[in-house]
Amino acid sequence: MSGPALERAIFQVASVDSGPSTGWRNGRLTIDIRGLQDELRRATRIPSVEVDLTQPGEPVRIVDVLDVVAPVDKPGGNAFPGLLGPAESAGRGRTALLDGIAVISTARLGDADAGVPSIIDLAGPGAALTPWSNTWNVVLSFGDVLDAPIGEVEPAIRLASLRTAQTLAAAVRKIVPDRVESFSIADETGGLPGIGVVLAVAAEGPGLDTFVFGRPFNGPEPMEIDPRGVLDGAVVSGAYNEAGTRPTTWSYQRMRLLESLLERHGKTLRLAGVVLTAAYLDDAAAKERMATGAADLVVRSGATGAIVTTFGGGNSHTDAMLTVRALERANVRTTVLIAETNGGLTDHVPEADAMISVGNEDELVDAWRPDRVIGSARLPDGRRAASAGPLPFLAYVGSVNQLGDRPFRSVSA
Amino acid sequence: MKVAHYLNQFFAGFGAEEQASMGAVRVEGAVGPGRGLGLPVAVTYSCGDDYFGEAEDAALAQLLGWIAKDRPDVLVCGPAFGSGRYGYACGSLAREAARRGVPAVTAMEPDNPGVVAAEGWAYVVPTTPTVIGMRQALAGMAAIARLLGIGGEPGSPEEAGYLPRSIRRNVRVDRLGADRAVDLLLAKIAGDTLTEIAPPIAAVEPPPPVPNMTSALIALVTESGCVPRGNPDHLTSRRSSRWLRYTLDGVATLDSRGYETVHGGFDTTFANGEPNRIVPLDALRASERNGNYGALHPFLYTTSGVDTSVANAVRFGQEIGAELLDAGVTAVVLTGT
Repeated sequence: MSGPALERAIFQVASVDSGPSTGWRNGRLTIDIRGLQDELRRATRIPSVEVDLTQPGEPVRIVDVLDVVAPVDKPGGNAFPGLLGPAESAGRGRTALLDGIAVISTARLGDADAGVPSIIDLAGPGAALTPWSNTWNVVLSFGDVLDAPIGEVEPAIRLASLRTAQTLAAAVRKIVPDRVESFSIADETGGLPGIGVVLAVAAEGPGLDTFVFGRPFNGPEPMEIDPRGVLDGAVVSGAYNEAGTRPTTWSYQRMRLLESLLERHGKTLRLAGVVLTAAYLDDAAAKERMATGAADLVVRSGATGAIVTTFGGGNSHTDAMLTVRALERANVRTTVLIAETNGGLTDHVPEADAMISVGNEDELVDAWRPDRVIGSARLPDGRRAASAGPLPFLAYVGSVNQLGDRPFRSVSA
Repeated sequence: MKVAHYLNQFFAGFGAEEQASMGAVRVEGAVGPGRGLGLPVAVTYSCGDDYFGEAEDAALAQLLGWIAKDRPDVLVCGPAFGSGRYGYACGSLAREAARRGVPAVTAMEPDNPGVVAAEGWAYVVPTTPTVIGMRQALAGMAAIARLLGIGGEPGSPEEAGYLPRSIRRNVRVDRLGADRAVDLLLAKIAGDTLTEIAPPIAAVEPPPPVPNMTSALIALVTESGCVPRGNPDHLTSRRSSRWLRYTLDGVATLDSRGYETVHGGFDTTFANGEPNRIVPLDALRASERNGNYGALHPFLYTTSGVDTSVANAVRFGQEIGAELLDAGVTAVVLTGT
């Protein structure tokens, strides 16, 4: 896992405005919004697409959120390998990242699990639940595409969002960054404990998939992936159900768990590797096979401890618990990150004796009236988006995601 | 601060068992244990324990009507100690008052069914089984009532001295879950196992074999979401919070014209085409005719078990189990998906 370091060149965004051409000047990003809109219409063939720019803390609610992407650029323009270019290796060399700005896609898709609202509030009580209330946001609204086949419209929207993110970051080419973060993995780490990560991703078909080097990852076997690749665009979310508990592409690009392990690598631990697993598997045998397969890979990496993460809830929590059991039986100590519910855990094995709470997805957030709604005027259940509430954490994108990047936990009361 | 207090007929001084059928009454000021609370008790409600149990709806309607008029800042109920009927009344009234915006605190022995009846809406202070712990119970309730009465919230169960309400409240923390996960794992490897979520209850012991099949009364229970076609009682397809009972009297087989499954966790095409394969009524009827077992219990118990919490599933099991025991059922065919 050694090899060249990943260098993340950070460009701090101070302000964003609209102008005749996209460019960067001393932390000020100007975006050709009209040109972007035309380009999105052309590329996606969705005529209703609109582009909005929001300021940090604006009284805005964004509805029908699909994904959030951090603007990144790679020399050669392949920041998302397998999607914006060939499936070449990720996690090496220099990647430019604009900090303080996000690209947010919204649409109402057919077929996807439409029961739970998927919102981001930039102000009001929900603002604390999201990192994007503090960022400038370029919001791409594709509107109601319920009638379009999801297998056609979803890839178009996903690719357009990624391309937009890269186009914005391409504005800083040849400019000196504010700072550079370096992620290297030294081979020699003395007798430090080896720690693995099991990263379970959504793999249920169009609208519920996770793309790894451009392809939906659905097993049937677990696979190893370089942690720096995860941080560098190799993993892209195409899963849009259960807003609160799902990771976005942003969650992978800026995955705090991997950053934390890489920072401590060679100091208090050795990051032994990352194993991707597909969760939400349909039958017991497939679930057991995935769990034991993941444990085998972790053991082979020499790890004595592993952190198990998941997404969603219910079925995927059974996958997580089986993975914990398989690891503990193979003498690998585990912790698992779990989103709780008002009714407790859906599943549990006695081996899961060290659980991290990322919060209770059912807790309600007070009602709030935004000045402006971007996306649909109504939530999937028909309520008016401008006045609906209180809404549960589960409705707020990423608020209780199980990669552990939000500042919440729940406690007994 | 205006405090209202609930007592049963005995503690309110109306009499013991012979007065247990007494209807609800309202008295100005503090009565009996209410005088020991050290709180400005403006009004005391009381009710016979049997009356509350047998005419719960009427009793609650009367008591909640008074509460709506009196508008107390906080309701204190009991303490009920080990008395199941009294505890149930305290827990139920406290729950309903809290649901209506009047914060409530009660006190009883942790095993008292009133704890479950409170459903986490009310704070329950643990007590001794008997009145020997009266002083501590009153002090414990009073401390929480003082906070609730001014719109405050008690701290954690450990700090404030109440039973955990199965409520998990989100709090902001400086250290992110990802960082805490690494800390926790390194500590565990070093021999110190800690957890932020308490592991839930232990596994279920398998029961002994059915002693005599020829006289066995067998019930059908399912989490497959099998319901009469049209789903007349609107069973939800996931995260179910209830179970339903349907008669099997005169039903020989579950055909697709009469039954369907509303489960949200699997492809229901085959189950809807042949409901007997998800709830094997046809096979059980044939077996019944052949005398392989005594008789089939004439009800189907159903829920949809997807994203259902363990707490709810345990409750379903207890409630359905109690009903089956009452009916003399000796064995269950439980189909899962």
